[in-house]
Amino acid sequence: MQRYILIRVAQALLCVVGISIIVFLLSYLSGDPAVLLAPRDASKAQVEEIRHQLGLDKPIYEQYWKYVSGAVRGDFGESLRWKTPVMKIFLERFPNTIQLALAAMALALVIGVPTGVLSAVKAGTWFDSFGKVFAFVGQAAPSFWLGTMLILLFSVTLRLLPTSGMGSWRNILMPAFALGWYLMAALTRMSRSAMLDVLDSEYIKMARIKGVPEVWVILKHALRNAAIPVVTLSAMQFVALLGGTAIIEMIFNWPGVGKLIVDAIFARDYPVVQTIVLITSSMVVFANLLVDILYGYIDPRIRYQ
Amino acid sequence: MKSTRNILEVKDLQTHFFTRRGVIKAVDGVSFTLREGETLGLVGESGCGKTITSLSIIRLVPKPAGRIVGGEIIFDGEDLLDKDEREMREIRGKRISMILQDPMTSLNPVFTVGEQVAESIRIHQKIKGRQVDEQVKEMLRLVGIPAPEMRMRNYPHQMSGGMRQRIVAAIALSCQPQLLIADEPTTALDVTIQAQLLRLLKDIQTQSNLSMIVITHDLGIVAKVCDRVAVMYAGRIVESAGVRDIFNNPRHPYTQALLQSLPKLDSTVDRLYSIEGQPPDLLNPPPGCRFRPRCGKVGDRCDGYYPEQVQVGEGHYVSCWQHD
Amino acid sequence: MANSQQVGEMLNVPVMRRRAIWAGMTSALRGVPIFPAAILALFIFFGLFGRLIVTYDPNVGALRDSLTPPFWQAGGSTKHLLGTDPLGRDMLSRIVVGASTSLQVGFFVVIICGFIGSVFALLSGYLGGWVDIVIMRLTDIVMSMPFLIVALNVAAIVGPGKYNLILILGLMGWAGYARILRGEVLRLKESYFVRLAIVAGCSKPRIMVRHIFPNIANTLVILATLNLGVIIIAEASLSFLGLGIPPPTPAWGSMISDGRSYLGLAWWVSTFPGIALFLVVLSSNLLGDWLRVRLDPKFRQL
Repeated sequence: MQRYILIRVAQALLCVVGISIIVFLLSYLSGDPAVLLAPRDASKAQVEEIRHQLGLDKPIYEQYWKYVSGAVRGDFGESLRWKTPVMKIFLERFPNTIQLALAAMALALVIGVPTGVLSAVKAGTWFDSFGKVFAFVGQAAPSFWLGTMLILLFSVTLRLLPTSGMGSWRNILMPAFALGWYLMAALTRMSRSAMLDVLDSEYIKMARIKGVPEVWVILKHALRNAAIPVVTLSAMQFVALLGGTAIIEMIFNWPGVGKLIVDAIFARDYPVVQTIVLITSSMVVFANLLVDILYGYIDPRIRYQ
Repeated sequence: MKSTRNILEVKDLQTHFFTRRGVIKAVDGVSFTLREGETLGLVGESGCGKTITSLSIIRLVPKPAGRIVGGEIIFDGEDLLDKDEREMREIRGKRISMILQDPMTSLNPVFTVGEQVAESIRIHQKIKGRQVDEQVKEMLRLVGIPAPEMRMRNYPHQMSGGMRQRIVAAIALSCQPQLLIADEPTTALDVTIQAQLLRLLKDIQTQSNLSMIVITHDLGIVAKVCDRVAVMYAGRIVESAGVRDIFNNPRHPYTQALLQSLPKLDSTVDRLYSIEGQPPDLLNPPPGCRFRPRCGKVGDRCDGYYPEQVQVGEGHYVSCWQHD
Repeated sequence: MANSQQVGEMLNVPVMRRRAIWAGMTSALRGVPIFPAAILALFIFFGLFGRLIVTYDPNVGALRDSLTPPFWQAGGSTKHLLGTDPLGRDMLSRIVVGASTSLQVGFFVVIICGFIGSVFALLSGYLGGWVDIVIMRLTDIVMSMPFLIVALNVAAIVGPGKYNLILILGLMGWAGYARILRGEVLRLKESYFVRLAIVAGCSKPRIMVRHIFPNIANTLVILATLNLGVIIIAEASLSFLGLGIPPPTPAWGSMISDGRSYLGLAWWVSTFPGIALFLVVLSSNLLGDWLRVRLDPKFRQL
């Protein structure tokens, strides 16, 4: 197990380094911050001066190194708009996004997995058909359109829920639902398919032959095996979830990292953009790492590969 | 001294599968008896219905397509077909046990082998904790697994095929069942391991008066472990006899053909004998003898009438018009 | 000394395989689910000929007609069956023409991603070693970066526009293909016909292209159809945020965004383009799923 963890960690670190290079190159190509920072009528010499001050005339690998050494210490520069350290802004908004993502994940798991499992256990019945339809519809409806429709229905027409802001469970319900919708559908499909596969296997037959009560056959013997692909999918979908927060936060005006980055992109606030892409990507890498380790615990075969 | 009590009497068992294309009569009137402490071999090629017969006995026929539609299964004096699911569950694993063909897929990959043996014990015997562990170790020792304390904590993928099958045997025997059904128990194993497993089963049988049904297509195994043999073809039993009689005096052309296909060490042939043709479609079985298209001894009643069962020796029955 | 082509022809191996794949594909087309296929065909038709059949110019509207409801609501008329948008442009026409954007981007991106993914999968899976390690780390990196945000970022740099969008989405979307196809390549590497080809003296590129690739083509097609919906939604998302197809070209995503300020007054502006999106993606997913089951019933992981 140790060896397995070590290899995965090394891969993860390599990944993060690669991401930092890409992110750095992206912002390097984005445009010359000196031009943006300098006053309108600045002369070429003045712009040059600013460039020199910012260290932008140094060779690219020196700039990269400066960037990386700063990043490791937690210093990601300052926002061009607000002149405050990016890290500070990020940390203010980050918990909000996490809250939203967790709520969406929770909704998706609580609704998606049991639906899928039940669909498989009751294969062929009306519940199964319902489950399949639910899954397909869910994966086809774009989240931003769903969010808009939810606002149309619950805020504008029924006046039940607020359209924006944070605060109570009322505020988080719609965005979490819109964000988690796709994952809900995907989990339903995955759980159903994994469960059907497992229920077909010889060891489940053996469990019944042993006289194990059917409830335990499903919950103990089948579910743990079916969990494996479901966990994998959840991890992979977490990436999509993070990307999806951007749009949902924009629609519902949720003060999170997603909204921050979209606004920053439009405002050409490159330090902010750069940092957020790096941090969120690294989080994804870290999350995948955790899942791989968790996977190693659930499925003993992986540990000994 | 074997007892003369019948532990199992199957009478005219019929199990059908209801599919979109029609009704498949997988088991179409099967009858046999098994004496306590005896081993019955159920022999036949793939698709003849032997596995479904065994699944019917423990009533785990695949739903919803399959259903037992007729007959009686008298186990230890009671008809199993009268019992409800809860009663059957108590019987399964405790009084009737089963071993499946492939030990790798029979064991749940995410639980230790110790846990899988323990589960049977916990369900059917009301003991917990340390006692269960002791029994598990005892079972592992019984089936010949060295260092049981350590092996208990292994996962199935960490063990060899032979050892896995012993674990499956340990699970099956953990609650001292009266009847053990072994469905192709050695097919997935190497030849040397096969011999070990069979010897193990025979030893346990002598110790505990266990009755066994061994389902196989391998006549070599039949010779080694069985007391009686029932040969199945196309959903019915065509010949049944003591093991010596089957080998020395087979009366049904199918049995004879099976024996002829066994390669013999003491003679050389240019081509191995194999039976031509295929078993009939069980959707629409022919009215007469089902082996007729492949039989070398066809007579005039074979086409139209299914052969009655006649007794041709002590304990030796055959269903053939041309059995002489 | 016979070369691989002659050996191949002697053994009839590549020809048999090609015929088998073609036979597989045509027999697979029997039993196509009608509704999804019809809907997709309809939208493809719109995409190709939309501009020719619409009655109104989708880019131009009359402000006095602004925000007309659909014909079944009070205030609507059959002049504008699905109503008009804030600038008075006919909704139906815009939706029909918008199909072209979504589908063009969708198909091109899927083709690009499929191509890059296959190439990487073949190189990575068949050559192994350092090539494999490098490509796999690259795949990890691309898969870890949040698709939408990076696409937004790049779009902000290079500017909006259909072809820019295709390029961006294409460069980001190949990772899933590469990973899954690599698995297939690894499996096929061990098969007998590949070993035969090696023994016959085939060069590595030849093996990869003529022997292995045709056998991963099935999976590639399945991945592509399942991915189409995702790409269409991605394009719509970018347009929704304003960094996709620039106005006045109709794009379903930006149409939905246009309607957001008018939700109370004119629900149809946001709703109908979304329904179109939904239908296209749903049909594509259903077809992809049917294809998956039909072409390879053992295909479980997706």
